[in-house]
Amino acid sequence: MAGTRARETTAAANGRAGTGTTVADLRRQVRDLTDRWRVQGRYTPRSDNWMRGFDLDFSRELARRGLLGLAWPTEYGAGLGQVARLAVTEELLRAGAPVAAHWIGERQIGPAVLGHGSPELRAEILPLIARAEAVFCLGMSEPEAGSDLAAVRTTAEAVPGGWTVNGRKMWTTGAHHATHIYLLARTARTERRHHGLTEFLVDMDTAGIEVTPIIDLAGEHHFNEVTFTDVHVPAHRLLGTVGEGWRRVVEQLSFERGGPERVLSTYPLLARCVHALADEPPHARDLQIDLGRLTARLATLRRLALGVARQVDEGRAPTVEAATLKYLGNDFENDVVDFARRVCLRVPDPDLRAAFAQALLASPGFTIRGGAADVLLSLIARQETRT
Amino acid sequence: MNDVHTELRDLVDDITAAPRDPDRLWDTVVGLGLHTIGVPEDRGGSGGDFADLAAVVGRFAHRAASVPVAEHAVAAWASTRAGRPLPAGGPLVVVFAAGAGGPYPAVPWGRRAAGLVVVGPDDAVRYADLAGRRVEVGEETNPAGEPRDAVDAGDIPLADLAEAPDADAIRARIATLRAAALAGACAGAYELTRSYVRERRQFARPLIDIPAVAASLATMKVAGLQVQAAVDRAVDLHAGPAGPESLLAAAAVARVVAAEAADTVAGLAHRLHGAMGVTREYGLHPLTTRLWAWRDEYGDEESWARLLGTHTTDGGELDLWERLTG
Repeated sequence: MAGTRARETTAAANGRAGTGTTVADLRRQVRDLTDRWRVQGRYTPRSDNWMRGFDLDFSRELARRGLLGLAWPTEYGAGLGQVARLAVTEELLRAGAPVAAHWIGERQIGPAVLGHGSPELRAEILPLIARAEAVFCLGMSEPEAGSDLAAVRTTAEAVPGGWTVNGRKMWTTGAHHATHIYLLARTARTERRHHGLTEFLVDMDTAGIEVTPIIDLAGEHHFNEVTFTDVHVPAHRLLGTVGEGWRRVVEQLSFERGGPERVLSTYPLLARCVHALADEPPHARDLQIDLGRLTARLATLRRLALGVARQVDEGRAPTVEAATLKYLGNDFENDVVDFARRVCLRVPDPDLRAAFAQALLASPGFTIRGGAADVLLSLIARQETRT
Repeated sequence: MNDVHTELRDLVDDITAAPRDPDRLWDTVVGLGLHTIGVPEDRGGSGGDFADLAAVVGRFAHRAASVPVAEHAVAAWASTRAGRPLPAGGPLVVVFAAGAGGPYPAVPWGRRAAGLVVVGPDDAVRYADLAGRRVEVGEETNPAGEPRDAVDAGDIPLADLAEAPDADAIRARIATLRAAALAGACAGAYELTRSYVRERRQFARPLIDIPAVAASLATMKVAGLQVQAAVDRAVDLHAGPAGPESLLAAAAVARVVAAEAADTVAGLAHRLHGAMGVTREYGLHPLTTRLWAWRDEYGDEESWARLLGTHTTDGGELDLWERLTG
């Protein structure tokens, strides 16, 4: 059954975004779709909507057009590679579209399953992600394990037919919408804490899983605490090899960190600033210089994102480059918010002011997710001084 | 980096392995033809493309060499495009004149220049042949001690280079090469610093074991990757059909990012080196003084940022986006 549906997805992908599709076509498709939905009032562009904007209908519309799983091989996706996928993701971010429903699954669970999932797991999970039927959340962080994932304490104990999971996951974005959770759990207590970690894909409706909201400072509900009490995970939902979870999660973080969403979360706000300044240049000469500086950084970050995509297409895991992109990108996103603050002080524009306020409240999260800035620097330093 | 770039880099490393005085280094460069990369062979150049030239300029900077390769190569490219034969030796230098005539301030290697390609305030491109002429030169230097002379060409006639490339294309080329040089010097300063903090022991352990030192080193690395990405972007654009305006905007991006990186890298390199970094004998100051000098040459950071900001407000968001992703 799953196999049949996978083939249908492939056919759909080949029909719309497959062989012969150019990057320009992909961009045009995304622009047409987002323009239409925006004009129809079906979404309002806003900053950070890849994390905050959950709309299953929108994600499924993208799936119907074959725009999910673009980089995956043709058996499961469009076979177009990461550079083509970058064109689509950055157009979605530019539009501030509500893409949270498929974002995590398509970005990093799909590649992880492709990379080291069993054939059965691939056949089961990948079509679900490509059709935006599976909504994934990431069960990585815990109360005692934030950026330091090797400190994970949630346990998975081998039992006949699978595993029994006990523990708590924290800061789990979108768990209240998710159908599946990626779970990093400890399957062995070892001397070296980077050993003994294992990955699983777990159905969220399994008995024993409880989701408790954590409300953020904007009053919005995105984070959750997820508790596992004697949760049974069937054996075939093991991802990869028992005890190899650490290496895999590090690879996965390259996908998590190296994408354009680490740069473009506040692009919709920047776009509004450009618009506001176009009408008032005489009062805003100094702001034009700062806008030029932001433009220069943005163009460079976009080039870095392209470099990461190219390296992934070549089969490499660009750890330092991805960490660099995220580190610099988050800085940029925050500086856009501050720039918007200064534009607001000069140019009376209620819409801009509202967009600024929304982005400001979202901004403390930018540097935290995917590894805090200081953690990224120490990761880069370690890589650089390894001989 | 492709194989040709690796070979060029090794060649530059060879000829800069031992310190030489600038005249002898220039003679070697001319002997090898490194000064006319990017000028087609049928016009008297060495062939190769702009990316090859940028790789060479970046590597000379990495080695903190004083040699006017970028200045000559751009002037040679522009003047031969206009049908003017190359003089033997050189160097030729590009000058952006503020007024209709001279004197021209801060001309790189003005005291040795064989000719000037002068881009006027009206964007007209002209040529001053200085060979065998009497030229008043006020010798001055930039903070790195490189010649930046006041050149008064007096009554030497300026010849129109009617077929020369667009003035903005010339600006984009030389500015991009300065950015490539800044990226090279950033990489040189970074490598020196990385070695130093791994070898130097304080408090009974290598400096790199101190978390704040590791974070500073990583910050330098990040700045270096950033400037190299901006330079690669600008350089790649020269291989395609981009017009002068796009080339100039990409150069501006590279220069704004390079100026910030130069500041970060030079500051942290000195901080991490401590007293060792301020000695005449140690090899850091030739790199950091170049970073300080070059970031302001052929346009300062603020003027490049203003150009980009004006482009953005004039062109609007869609235009910005298409330049970013095109």
